[in-house]
Amino acid sequence: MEELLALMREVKPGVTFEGDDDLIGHGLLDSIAIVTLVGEICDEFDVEISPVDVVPENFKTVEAIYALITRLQEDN
Amino acid sequence: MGYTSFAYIGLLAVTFLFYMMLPLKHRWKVLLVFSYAFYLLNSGKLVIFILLSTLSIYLTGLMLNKLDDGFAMAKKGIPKENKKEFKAIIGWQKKFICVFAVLFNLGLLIFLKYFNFLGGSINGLFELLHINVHIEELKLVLPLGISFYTMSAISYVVDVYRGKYRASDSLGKVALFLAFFPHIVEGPIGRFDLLADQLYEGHRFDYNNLMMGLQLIFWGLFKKFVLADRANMYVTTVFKNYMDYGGIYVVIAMLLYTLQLYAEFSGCMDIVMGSAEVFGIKMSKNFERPFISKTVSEFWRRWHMTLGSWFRDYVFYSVSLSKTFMNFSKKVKSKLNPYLGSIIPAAVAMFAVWFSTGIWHGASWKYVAYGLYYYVIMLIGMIIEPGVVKVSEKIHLNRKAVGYKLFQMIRTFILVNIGMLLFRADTIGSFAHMLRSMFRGFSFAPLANGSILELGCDIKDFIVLAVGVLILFLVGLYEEKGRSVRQTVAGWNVVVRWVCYYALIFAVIIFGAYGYGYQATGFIYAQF
Amino acid sequence: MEEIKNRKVTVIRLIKVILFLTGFIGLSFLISYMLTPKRSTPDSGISYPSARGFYGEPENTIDVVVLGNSGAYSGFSPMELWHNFGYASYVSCEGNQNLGESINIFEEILQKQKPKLLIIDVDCFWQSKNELKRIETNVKSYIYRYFPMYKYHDRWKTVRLDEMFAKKQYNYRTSTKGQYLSRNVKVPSKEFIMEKTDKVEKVPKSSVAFIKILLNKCEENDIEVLLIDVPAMHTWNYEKHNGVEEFAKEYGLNFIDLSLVTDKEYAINWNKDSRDGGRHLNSFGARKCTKYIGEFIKKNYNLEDKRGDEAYASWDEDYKEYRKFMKKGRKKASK
Repeated sequence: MEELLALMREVKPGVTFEGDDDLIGHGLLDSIAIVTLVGEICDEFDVEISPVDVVPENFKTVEAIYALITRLQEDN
Repeated sequence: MGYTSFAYIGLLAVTFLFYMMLPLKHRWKVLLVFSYAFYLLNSGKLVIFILLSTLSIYLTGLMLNKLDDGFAMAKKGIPKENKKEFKAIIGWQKKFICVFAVLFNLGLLIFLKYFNFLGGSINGLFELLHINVHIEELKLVLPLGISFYTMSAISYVVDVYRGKYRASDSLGKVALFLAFFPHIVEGPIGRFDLLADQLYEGHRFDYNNLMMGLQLIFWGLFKKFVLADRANMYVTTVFKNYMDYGGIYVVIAMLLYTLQLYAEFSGCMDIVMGSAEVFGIKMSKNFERPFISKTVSEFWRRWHMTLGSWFRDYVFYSVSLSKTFMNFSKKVKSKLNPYLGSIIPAAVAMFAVWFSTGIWHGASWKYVAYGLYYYVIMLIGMIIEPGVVKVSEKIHLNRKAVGYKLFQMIRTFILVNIGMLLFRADTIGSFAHMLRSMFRGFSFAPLANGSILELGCDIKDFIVLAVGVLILFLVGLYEEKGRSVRQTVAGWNVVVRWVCYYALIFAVIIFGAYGYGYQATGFIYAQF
Repeated sequence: MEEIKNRKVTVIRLIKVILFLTGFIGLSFLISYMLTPKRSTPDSGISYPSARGFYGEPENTIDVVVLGNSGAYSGFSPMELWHNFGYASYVSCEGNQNLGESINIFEEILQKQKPKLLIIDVDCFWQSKNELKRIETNVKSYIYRYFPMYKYHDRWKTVRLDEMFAKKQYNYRTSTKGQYLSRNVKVPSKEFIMEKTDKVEKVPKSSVAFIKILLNKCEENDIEVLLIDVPAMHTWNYEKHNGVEEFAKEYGLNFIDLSLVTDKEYAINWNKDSRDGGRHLNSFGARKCTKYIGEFIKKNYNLEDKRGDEAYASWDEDYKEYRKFMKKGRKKASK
């Protein structure tokens, strides 16, 4: 989880992600940031995120992103 | 047969009656039959193209299903080390089929819509290079809604390929999904997973759906007839003779065109969604109060939303999440600094999005310029973002303050209006001319001496427009707070409520710009 | 219990819908009345005041009525018909008049006048570009008759408060009897040839339905019907001629195709007789057509020659004015 947050801060410096319940709706993550983040996550966690997984539900909160990563790691 | 014609209202009514008369199980067939009737009435023989698209994506879906099933079956019996290899083979086959289907559908669109444009551009290039080859122009007629249903068709194939959902076994369901008559002309661009089941399952008669749908239709008619068509009278005068006007005349033409396009397109969407709602079908919305956006990218998330999300899902993500592209990003990042590393890949992927968004609107360089206009603005925004953050921290500018937000909204509004000017102008050249002419000899005199009232809209027209905009604004404000005007009105007592309904209906009839003395205007987006 | 409750809800809703629609129709009548022009003069806001000048003629003095679109109000001259044959006619044609509108205005006429002969310019059978559009516009005109607010909605800009509830008083009179006078000459850019063919373009089905309504009205009122086609280069051809010929035969009507007239005295000379390059005739073309039609009427119908009748003295005055206009001759032709 900390690892993920570190990545997110790298992508978007100076933003508080924790505790926000709608990162996309509140404009903290736009599609460009998401794509950059996905790239980082794929490298860092050694998972494959396909466009199908890039939906608002999976990127709404830090927890949701983390859950997505965990699920993908299990699939592998 | 436009959505505002008596004929359409008649078609809707007849479809509704048949729909409610048949048993639930068969109701979708009514929609299918009347959707094709609508198509035939409008486009005649050109129905062949939507049939080809339908058949192609249906068969592609079935083939992709088969490959998926084969893989799932074989997965159990294969040792782990071979699994990856097998998966890769299946993956290639799936990709081949998917790409073929996408190219086929895209090819039809490109051929019919862009052949002459491409031919003309290539001819120009050849001439420059002194190559003596000439591509003849073809007389091509666009089938109704091809720009819209092709998008839906591609999204279906790609979604099935990506494994978002299984392809449908029912040809009728796929056919209805593409041809559904309310959305065939100008969207909203449907997604199979959100729409197809709704279309396919029978809906019971529901009084509230019927009433809500009709209200929405009238609200759409209000926007189209009272606002859009009235603004059009002024807009046409200035844009047609743009050489003759400058200063405030052009500024007002630009603002009124923005109003016209918004009122018309969102009004048409209201008619479309209202038509679907009558049957109990909910469509994706296409507009969410675009003019309160604080950035142009937010604007595009609120304006023609189904188009924006389509390009995001099928162009932006396709490009930026592909392996080749990811590797490219990595290289940029490691070879250059992280700042450029985040911008350059995004810039490349966004270029693909905005180039295609531009040209989707029409086969000419003007529309390419229209797309790239927004691309450049967004790119500049991205590049200076870190700088802006730093500077505002230094001078203690609160970027969350109301004042700053208001500044952002006005800035975005101006940028969007300039975009609209480009969108409406005949060519890039006339756009440039008009943009410059705004500043040349600008004065408020035409407002004061009344000469502004001689270009197609008199003072009474402007009053109607102003009142209409005020109503639109108040409704928008109310809905931005997350409330629904329609629900609120429905909760009032019957007298007040009926007064509202009558007011809306008679406003359309009396203040609509139609009939004698008015030029009948079609829908702008129906031409794309 | 549940079922009874449901039924009750349904009944209440049904009543509500009926009440709402009743209110809508009531308000429509009211608003329609408020917006309808109360006079028939050109500045009253009424559409095609010249087509409605029959209101200004004494009751039951018009014997021949012409219906159709701009082709007929340009190409038919009541004054010529009066001067040469003594038939009192009126041209109640409107630009782009569709058959629905023809029926509307014909009903208005019948309330004031007792015509013996109705002349229809067949060009309006093909009004609108396709069948669907045709049905739509015709049905629309039919609705307009009961709810003129759709036609006159734009009068919210000009209507005065005292005018809204005033009584209708239509008595505008025009000396041209509905004809559009023009001395302009514009030579068409291409030649007009009615190439003979056996091909038939049938009268559109929707038009037939509306013509039948007109025919029935005529039968009820003992009015004979004559079909004509006023020459118009851009809309007329031999296929349509054959279509109307067939139609006329089926319904036992006479049909004069003025484009096929070759007799030098009556034939249209496109270099001299069109005011706008072949779309419409000028008043000199109208004179030729009207004379031909007059001869035909004389031979085939039993109409009274009203010349010399004291009640028609004003017609001679009107003719003098018309004569003055025609005497000035054609304007110089423009290309």
